[in-house]
Amino acid sequence: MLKFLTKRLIQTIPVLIGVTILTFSMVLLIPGDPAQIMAGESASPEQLELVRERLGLNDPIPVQYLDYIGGVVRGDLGNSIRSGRAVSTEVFGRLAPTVELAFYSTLLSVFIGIIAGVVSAVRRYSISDTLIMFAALFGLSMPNFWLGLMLIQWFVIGTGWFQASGWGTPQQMILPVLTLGTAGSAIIARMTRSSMLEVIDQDYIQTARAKGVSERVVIYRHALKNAMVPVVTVVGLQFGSLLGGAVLTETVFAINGLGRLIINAIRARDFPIVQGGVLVFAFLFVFVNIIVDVLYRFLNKRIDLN
Amino acid sequence: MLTEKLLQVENLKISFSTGDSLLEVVSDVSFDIGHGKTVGIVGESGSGKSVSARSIMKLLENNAVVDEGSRIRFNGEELLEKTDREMRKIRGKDIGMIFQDPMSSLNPTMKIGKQISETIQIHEKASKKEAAARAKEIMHLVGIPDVDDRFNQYPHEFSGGMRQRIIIAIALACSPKLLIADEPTTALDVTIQAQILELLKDIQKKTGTSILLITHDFGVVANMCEDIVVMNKGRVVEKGSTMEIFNSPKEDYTKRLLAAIPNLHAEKSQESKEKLADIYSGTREKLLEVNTLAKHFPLGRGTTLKAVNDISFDIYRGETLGLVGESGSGKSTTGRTILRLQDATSGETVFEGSDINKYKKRQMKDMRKRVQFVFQDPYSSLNPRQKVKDIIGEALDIHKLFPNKKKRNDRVKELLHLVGLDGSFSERFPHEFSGGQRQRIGIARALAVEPDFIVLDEPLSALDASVQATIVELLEDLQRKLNLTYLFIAHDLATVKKLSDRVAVMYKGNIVELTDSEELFKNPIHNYTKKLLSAIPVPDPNYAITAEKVSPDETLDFSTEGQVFTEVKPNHWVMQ
Repeated sequence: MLKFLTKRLIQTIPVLIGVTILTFSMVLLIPGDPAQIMAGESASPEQLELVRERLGLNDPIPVQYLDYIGGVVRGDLGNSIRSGRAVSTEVFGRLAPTVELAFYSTLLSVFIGIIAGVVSAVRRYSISDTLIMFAALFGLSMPNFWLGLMLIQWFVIGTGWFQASGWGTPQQMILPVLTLGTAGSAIIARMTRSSMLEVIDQDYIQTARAKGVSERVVIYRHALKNAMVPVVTVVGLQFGSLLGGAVLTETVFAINGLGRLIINAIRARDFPIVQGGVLVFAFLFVFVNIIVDVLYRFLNKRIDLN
Repeated sequence: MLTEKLLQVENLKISFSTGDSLLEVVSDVSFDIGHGKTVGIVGESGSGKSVSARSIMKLLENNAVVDEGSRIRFNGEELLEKTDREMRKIRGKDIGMIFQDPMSSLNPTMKIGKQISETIQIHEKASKKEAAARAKEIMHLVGIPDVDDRFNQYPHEFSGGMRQRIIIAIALACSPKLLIADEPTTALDVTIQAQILELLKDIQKKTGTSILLITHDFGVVANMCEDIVVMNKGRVVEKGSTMEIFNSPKEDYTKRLLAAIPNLHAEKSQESKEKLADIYSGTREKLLEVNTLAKHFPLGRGTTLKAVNDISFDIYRGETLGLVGESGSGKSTTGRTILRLQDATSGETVFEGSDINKYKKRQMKDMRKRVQFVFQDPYSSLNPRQKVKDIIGEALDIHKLFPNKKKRNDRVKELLHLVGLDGSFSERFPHEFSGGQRQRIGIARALAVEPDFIVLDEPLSALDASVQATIVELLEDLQRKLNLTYLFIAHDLATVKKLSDRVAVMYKGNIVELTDSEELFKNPIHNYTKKLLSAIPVPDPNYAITAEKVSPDETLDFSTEGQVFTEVKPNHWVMQ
């Protein structure tokens, strides 16, 4: 297990290097002169030159990249143009609400998705199956910012049960989690259904029934664990895309998370923040996928991870 | 109430509802099984034998309807009147079931010890510890070694034969009165089959359980059963004691089934003997010469699997060389490698004077016209979205043999006639045909480019015995008409004997014995060949199976380390 983890971590190094190359190139690709943005519209050529020198913008690009990497390794992601504070402080200060939002949303979508998927697989072609699959299709097709607005319309403006901004109390957290978790539930429900249907047809399910095992135990002890193998992959990818999806949800619900930080930074052309935020998102995504691989091993004994 | 018979099935009638119509698959089936007896239900695919067996457990698909007039009495109770809850108390406790495919019948994510003890926990209210202890006893009974270690392993850590033992252990866990075995050995190699059959007999002796054995193999029933029920198209054709059925079958269908069994002791034809004489005297043209051919597959971490290990043999024009071996022996890899469907690791295949491994693209294309392949599975080897005329005609198009569309389609019809099918079939899709018909289409496809040499890779193993017999006849007929040369790859020794002039026996990547087929069956020399021959269940109830007593270690090891292929008798080569 330890050997597998080490190996898996080493394998992520090229991926992470690729990610840093991409975030680094972002600065080179954006239109306009970064020094001009930092120094302001009215800066004199001498001031501009000074800023360039300070940022190392006069160095050859590979040298700039190595500088950047060196900073990343030390945890130094530069300073925000607007606030002047360290990017790492800004980014990590905003990380918690985003990760929490993605985590609770994943939890919700796993919970609803698996139950709905199992019910509709076990009662295939019944009315509950039709309803669940219709709901899943609806949940998938609906843009989540629209769902967020509707929820605010009903439960904040309408009934006043919840709050529409901020993060921390249940009143603040329930609506965003629901908004973000809906599409995930739909995907997981559909995946669970098809995976369960496949597993139920397997010979070993027949073996279990021939033992005299009750149908409930057949489904939950024998079928579900096997059916979860493909679902876990989807959950992992889902968590990753939820981090991204948080950008919209955080904006709708005015949550001071990483997504909103990045959006505001893009508007203000505060590129060190954008760079740092994207980098942290990418790292999170990679590590979530390692966790998924580990879960895989527990579920599927046939996969030899070494 | 004490009943005389353990199980009585009367007028069993089962239909499947398909949309709004009912399709009757089992009609008026009646049979019974006495205490401690073994009854075999024999039939080909679609005969309704498996459905009948499953109905005893009430484990039919949801769309199955059992007719109200049907009766299944088990141990004095009427099973068809029982609710699902009541049936669950009987399943696994009074009736155990063994399924066909050991690779897919065990839960891959559950430890095998748990899979066995689960049954005991359900039915005997035993504690986890007691159930585990009892499960270990049963594992021991079915011949699984190192019980304490293996108890906590997962199914993928066991071989096919071992998995079937585990499945038997699950079925036996609560000492059932009846064991239903649905094709328990069909998916196993013949030497493993012999062990499993021996195990079942041994268990019956020790526990006194009755066995209902479902099979298509007359060799298996002859060795196992007191009584036989022959089924066809959902009906019982004939039933009686094993001796009666074999010695004096009354119905034509039974007679035909028995006649379709290839006889291991039949003499080869005059024609075959003449061919052999030509080959041995050196007057017959050598079509293909395989020299120290090897194919290795990397297994990772520096180890390699030597699937084919420096083998050499010749194939002469017009002959059939049989290549037999069990799963993993390298026989299919050999077939693919000699035709360069995959590249050889080393060695050469000399075809008409030059090594095909050195051919350029152009030469390969020409060669592909001369040699063809017929595959094992007639279901997956035909593209389901192509019409028959395109399946067969594709090779004609590739080699630009018939640029005229009409002539090309006429040629396809001609080929269909050649393999005994109607020309009008060319407009249809593969799913409209039976397995045997599909295999004929596969053969027609191979014949399209008028090849000299065809590799037949287990072309019969997915087919029923009576269909096998007709395909063997077709292959022999085609060989005669078109002067074809075959490499016939198979695991079934009886058909190999029937079709082949010479036979090579493969074991772990090596050819361990090579001689003409009559000699091989009369005087096998290599120990592995002997073991293989003795394990075949002979379809004759007077003939006892000679497999050795169940041995816990099922790995037969006949090391070929440092041995050489030597001619021990004229034209009889053995690795020693």
